[in-house]
Amino acid sequence: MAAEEYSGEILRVDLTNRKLERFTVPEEIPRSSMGGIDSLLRSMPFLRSGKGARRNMTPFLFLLPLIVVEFSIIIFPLFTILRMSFQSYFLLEPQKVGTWVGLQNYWRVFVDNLNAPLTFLSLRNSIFWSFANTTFRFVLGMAVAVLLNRSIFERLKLTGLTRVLILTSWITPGVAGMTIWRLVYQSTNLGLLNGILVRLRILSGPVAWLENPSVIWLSCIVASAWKGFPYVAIALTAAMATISRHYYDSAAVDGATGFRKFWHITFPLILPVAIPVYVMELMWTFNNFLQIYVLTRGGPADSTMVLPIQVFKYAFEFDELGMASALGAFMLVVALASIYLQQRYLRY
Amino acid sequence: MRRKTKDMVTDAISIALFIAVAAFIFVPILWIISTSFMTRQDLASGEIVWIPMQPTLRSYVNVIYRDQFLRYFVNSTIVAVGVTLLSLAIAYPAAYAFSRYMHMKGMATLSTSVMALWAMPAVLLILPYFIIFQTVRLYDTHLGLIIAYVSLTLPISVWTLKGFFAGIPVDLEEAAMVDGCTRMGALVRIVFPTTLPGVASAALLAFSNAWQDLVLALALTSSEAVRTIPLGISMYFGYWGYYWPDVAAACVFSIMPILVLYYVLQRFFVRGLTMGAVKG
Repeated sequence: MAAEEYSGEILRVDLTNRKLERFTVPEEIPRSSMGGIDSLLRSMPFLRSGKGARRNMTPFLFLLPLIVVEFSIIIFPLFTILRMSFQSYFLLEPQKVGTWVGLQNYWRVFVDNLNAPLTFLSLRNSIFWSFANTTFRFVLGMAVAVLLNRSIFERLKLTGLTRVLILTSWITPGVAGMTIWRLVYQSTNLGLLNGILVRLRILSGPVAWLENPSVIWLSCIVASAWKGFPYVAIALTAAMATISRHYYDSAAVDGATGFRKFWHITFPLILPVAIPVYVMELMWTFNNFLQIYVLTRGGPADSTMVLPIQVFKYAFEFDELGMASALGAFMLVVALASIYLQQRYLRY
Repeated sequence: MRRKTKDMVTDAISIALFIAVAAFIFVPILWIISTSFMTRQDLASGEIVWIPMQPTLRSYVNVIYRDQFLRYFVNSTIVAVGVTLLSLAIAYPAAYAFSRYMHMKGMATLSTSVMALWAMPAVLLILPYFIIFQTVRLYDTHLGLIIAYVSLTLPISVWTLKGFFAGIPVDLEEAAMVDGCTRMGALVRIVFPTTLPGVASAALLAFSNAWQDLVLALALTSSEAVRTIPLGISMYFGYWGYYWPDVAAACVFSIMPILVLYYVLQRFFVRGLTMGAVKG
């Protein structure tokens, strides 16, 4: 508390956890970076340069396993996809596997009338699903974060407990989690949602949540949000907890209330955390295979087909790894482009 | 006085809202647990049965003996433990280097590239793995799955541990080194014990990621000898007319180990997660 009377940087000793922290008294919001250790190191020349080459080898040795493993099991295989996309990998014709076929795979995936409509349908679905899903879970996560930061939980010493409970659905394994929702969405008496809504007379009869085209995306989004929103909520709660109470106090003096406080203080101050989390969630949803696969398998009649499932389908239902690689190469480019854009424009 | 009443009302609303959120999270989980104890009479009753009239362990027996879930459980455990150990063994020194030598040339780029791998679609890896694993005979083996999963967990492990190292003052090692410790000695004797909470939370994240994956197991295994729990659950939906209490019991099998680990380790875990998220 005394810290807030100073400005700039101080060293704070946390006696209970035996920690020494560099603590920047926030003028606005603390930037999310680890600059502290960095500049501490710079102030200690004996750690930085050392006696000749031997010491400079140390970080390299520490990083060597990571670099070797990442290269061999992630980067090299990812580039193999590019090569595979120009080759024939129709597994039912083993003698032809590996022959070069030029752009044939790309043509069949993106141009040919047999498959191209499905490819573009899954692309459209993927984009819609990623944005709708991420936005929904974000709004829910932010609302819960505001709730968790209410002072009542702190006064009752429940802050830790609330966070632990909230994260329960996030840590639940994905397949089991989505299967739970398949169960909840049933039309029989096992369908908890239909049962409750019919009993409350909100619905006159059970709805086939995972088959009816007008609600199927909503059902998938709610199920996915159940699994995903706790992470958003916890990340944003942590960001909100760093905002100084003084802002709210002076806003209160000026007569600001609930929503205005949120909109003019909380929201802008958590943006540096919220935007990267949103972008990560967006990319993660775009790449996610499991949730839609378990909920609908892309059906009924391909209406919820998304790109990751389509890649899997080309590979293991059509036995066409070449076509799957062509679509995979496209996803790879999308992923690299989003990472580039994120690093270029959204670095906080 | 009026103001106090108003505060109490807002507090009550906050608590009520929290209970609603908790219900949204827990009711579906409790519902599947309840379903796993149901009998055919419960299913046929046509009403919502909150608690089965005559709870039975029948579905658990079915799942363990008839559907081989004990074997899947062992497979999942072998794979997830292997992934956790391998992932942490590689990530620990790397995260240390990232947090202590960040000023060195190329370090920031390398650390960003690890982050970038996190955003790669896992589904893409099944294509090259499917071909490569067959030539090097890793297809349909535990080791193959472990290697495949390390590709998913490694970036997460590095990132989580990095957050923890950042919270440990360099002075600690400096003091040890002044007293004659080597850097390695300082790392093992001084730094490692301090980072144990970080190791615990990174281990839980790696374990749970390996435990819950579906797509790599779907593509890289074929026999029951290697099949994991998520694959076992997802295969129920391939058959017409699966029996829900059995599926529910299989899900409980999948959920329980993770929830137990999570509640045991939660003290370190929640803190680690927020550090990773906010500092990352």
